[in-house]
Amino acid sequence: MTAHSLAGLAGLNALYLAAGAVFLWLVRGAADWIDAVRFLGLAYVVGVVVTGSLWTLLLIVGVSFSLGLVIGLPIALAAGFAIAARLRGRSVPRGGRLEGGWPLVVTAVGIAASGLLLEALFRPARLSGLYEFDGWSFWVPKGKAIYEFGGLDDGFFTSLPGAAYPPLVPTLDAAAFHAMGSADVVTLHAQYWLFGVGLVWALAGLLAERVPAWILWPFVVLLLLAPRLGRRLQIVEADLFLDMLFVLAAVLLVYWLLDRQRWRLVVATAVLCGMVLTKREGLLLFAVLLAASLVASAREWRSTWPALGVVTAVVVAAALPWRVWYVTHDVPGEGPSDGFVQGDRLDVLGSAIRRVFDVLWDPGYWNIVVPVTVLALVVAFVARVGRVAVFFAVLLALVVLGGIWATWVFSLTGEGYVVGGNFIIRFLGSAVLLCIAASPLLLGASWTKIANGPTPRDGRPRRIGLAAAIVVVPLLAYPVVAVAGGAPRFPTRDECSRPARANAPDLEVVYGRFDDPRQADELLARLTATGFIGAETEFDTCGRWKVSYDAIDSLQQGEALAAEVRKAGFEAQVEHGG
Amino acid sequence: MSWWTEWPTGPIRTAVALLVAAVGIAVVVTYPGLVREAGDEADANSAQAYVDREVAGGNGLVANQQALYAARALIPADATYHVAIAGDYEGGDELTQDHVASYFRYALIPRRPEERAAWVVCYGCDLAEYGPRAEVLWRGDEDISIVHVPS
Repeated sequence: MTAHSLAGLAGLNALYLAAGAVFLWLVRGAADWIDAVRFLGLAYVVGVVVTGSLWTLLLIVGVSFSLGLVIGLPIALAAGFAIAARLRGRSVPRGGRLEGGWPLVVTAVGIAASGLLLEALFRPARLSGLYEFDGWSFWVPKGKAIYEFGGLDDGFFTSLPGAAYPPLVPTLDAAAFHAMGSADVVTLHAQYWLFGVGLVWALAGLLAERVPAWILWPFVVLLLLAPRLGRRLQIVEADLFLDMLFVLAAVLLVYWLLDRQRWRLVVATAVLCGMVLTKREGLLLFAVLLAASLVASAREWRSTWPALGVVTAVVVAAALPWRVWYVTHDVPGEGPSDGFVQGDRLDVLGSAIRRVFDVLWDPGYWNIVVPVTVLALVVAFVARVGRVAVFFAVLLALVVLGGIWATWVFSLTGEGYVVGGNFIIRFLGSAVLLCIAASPLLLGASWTKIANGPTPRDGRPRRIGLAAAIVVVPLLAYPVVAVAGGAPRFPTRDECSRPARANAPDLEVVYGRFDDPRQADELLARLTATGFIGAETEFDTCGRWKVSYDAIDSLQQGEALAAEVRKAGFEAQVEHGG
Repeated sequence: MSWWTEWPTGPIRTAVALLVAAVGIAVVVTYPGLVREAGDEADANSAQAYVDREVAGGNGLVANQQALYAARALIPADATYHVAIAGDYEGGDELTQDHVASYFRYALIPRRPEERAAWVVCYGCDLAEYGPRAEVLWRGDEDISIVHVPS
């Protein structure tokens, strides 16, 4: 909750960014600074997954998770990648020129609109309590356990719900705790907000390669406005994080199918490794992504399938150690306990199908994302855009089928249960986030396909000043307006102590505050024995037991009593309730 | 022919433009609501008492916040503890009976839960069953106690 925690988080995330940016520079290079900035979001996400995956694998083999490892690994990775990049002949990006004109202005509007929303979403994230059931039930306890015990404590980890879930996200939580200097689960929400910023930036940066600005940005802003996406960016659970990785991997893979730039496959592999170390659904999502890639590249299978085989081998190698760990620790597996196909549950299948489509089409969860994507797919097939449409159609169909299957086999049934429950809403976040990435690509590809030729360079003024103003003014104005409404608070446990400086209706003389209720009772007894009658102990709103006397009418009366109490050898301070 | 009637490119152009426009309208309609909602939530979070924010998902569930803070103060960080709840305990909310132990596990780390631990957080339990040596170190409202049973 403190500025210190926020500063620690900022430092940690700068390390993620540095490691990812240098990794991207190594595998891709950077034409110029404009190009480097566009890929900064992807660099951040890659930095998180590469560092997080390595931390996770080190934890699994028993390496102690310390502050040294938290700081040292990303620095070592950045240094190693930088040396490798220089050896590979990568040059430092130089200069850069913005393509001007109206597309730049539209981009500026999109950046301003999404940036302002992200600023708005940061404010509740910073002081949010941990309310989500799965968050306090097992995700955060795992992170706290790694932080406190320095590793995957056998007894603790194997006894938690979701014990078989891979520990990448708890490891990232533990790293955040180290960076903040304490297990500050309130400020931890800001870490998840940062993951969200990384996703939006990464996705927009990637899509901007192939999608005109006027098609792209409405979808990027819509991502933040979909109730179950934008409003849940700060939720301390792994679902949205997994969905983000899935969608980035999907876009990278479809781009690779289109242009065969090898770096895309390398980055996609890193992201996929993170995905299978995040949740058990990561395995399912990896499988459907692989299947869609195989189908969409079937015509060139000789050149694509071996590369996809290598990707699969690397991802399986990353996924395996955790599965070995939990099997050797007698943790029940990630699959359904009654088997992958359950003949005796056929009666639930129809309900599962209905439930999945009900959730998908509910604008209360996803705004208009899903119907727009369905229509975008139709348009793309009519426009014969080819592989992009096939890839996304197959992938979306498989994710939905996966959702139906998971709903069917994992649902608790009986009185009081809704088939699929909350699980399917969270799972389908992956499908909907995929829709948000797919729609602009499909529409952009359709638009380009029927365009009469390359779009002529805008010969009109470049409007860079206008674009800069559109971005900077609202992004600066929003925090200024927010701060004008009251300076940001950084609550601490000491905030309940409010020394009185003037008369107030709620004055009291406070003799002490204690974490231990017995110490409060002891002080009260000593005060009473000394003759200070009428004091009492009370639990304050900062989690301490307060010993105080509250029948105070004026500051002068309070000061006089406090002086008398101090004279008797106790501590005393006149305070107001505030 | 105009750009939107020419076959087949016209309808495709029109469809693309209409879909982007639909998304644009959805954005314009819902944007102010989200900014306002986020601001309201930020104000509400900021105005919360320290304990309400810290206990968050455990408010109601733990029946009495004091039990949590007393447990943190009384049970040593390297000790083990057990949360016992009587089958007929009626305090707290609908989650208390099944999940209060789980919440304590989250809130009391690095203390580890253990079935036969010397430290017991008792929700409506019969203290006599812990024997004459059991020492009640804290007793709060809602029939919650923290008990130490010397081994």
